Amino acid sequence: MGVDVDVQIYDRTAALLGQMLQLQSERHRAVVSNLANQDTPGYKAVEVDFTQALENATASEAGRLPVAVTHPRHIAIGGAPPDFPSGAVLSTITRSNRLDGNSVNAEMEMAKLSQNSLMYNATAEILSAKFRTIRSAIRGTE
Amino acid sequence: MDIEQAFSVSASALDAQRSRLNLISSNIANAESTRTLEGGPYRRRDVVFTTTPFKSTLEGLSESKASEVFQGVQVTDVVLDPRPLRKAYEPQHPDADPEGYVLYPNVNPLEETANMMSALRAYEANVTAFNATKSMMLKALEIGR
Repeated sequence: MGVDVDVQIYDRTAALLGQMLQLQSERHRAVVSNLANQDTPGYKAVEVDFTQALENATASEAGRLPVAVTHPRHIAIGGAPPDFPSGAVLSTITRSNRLDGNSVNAEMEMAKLSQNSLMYNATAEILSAKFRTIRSAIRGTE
Repeated sequence: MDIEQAFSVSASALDAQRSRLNLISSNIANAESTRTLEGGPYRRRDVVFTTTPFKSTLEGLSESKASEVFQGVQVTDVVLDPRPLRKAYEPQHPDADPEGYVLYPNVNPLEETANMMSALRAYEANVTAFNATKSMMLKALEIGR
């Protein structure tokens, strides 16, 4: 009578979210370094870009998370397990408009700071909600 | 674990910008000083910033190669401005030379004000970065709650 469901507490989604947090924290550290060195002569701004890696991972056939098929009427979407973004691309901005050779654009860095910390908080919230759901499922309805 | 490094980096920048601001204040205060302890008029001073790598206290545990790239800033030197001093014709001044000229410091108040604004802006930006790091860490702590 019971339904045989394969449930993992720490599944692919959680792993992917965890990796997102890791990449976002690296991006945050790059922005913080740039802001700290915005007046240092000769300093070149660093950038962490993982949008390309993420696009490649999710656009490919293997990138899509498959929908579970537990009923004959379910339609399976996606194929093999996703290939996680393997890493971020660390690049340096060498072009500088300033006399002292510093290539930090302070306004852009502030914008990146805001955007990135919001994304980080959102990702952490999603992960939190996921664990809360599992916890409430364990407790059940009382 | 890695993100704690951001605190050190931001703190180093706050310290460096504050030192720069102190030096700017000193320059403005001494803009008309014709005598110093070393003799001669005051000469404008400037800071030298250098990027400094900051490893986290848990060095070695962090596997990310990117940890080496993220750097803070330090004031490594205070240098005298080599530009020529300002000359003014004041024969009655006690520090006038035989031709009646007095040498005044090479401090330009407008330039110092512009530098001061730049230092303030950098200071505020780093305070914002510090707060962002703090909010991210607090949020991460809530994940398992």
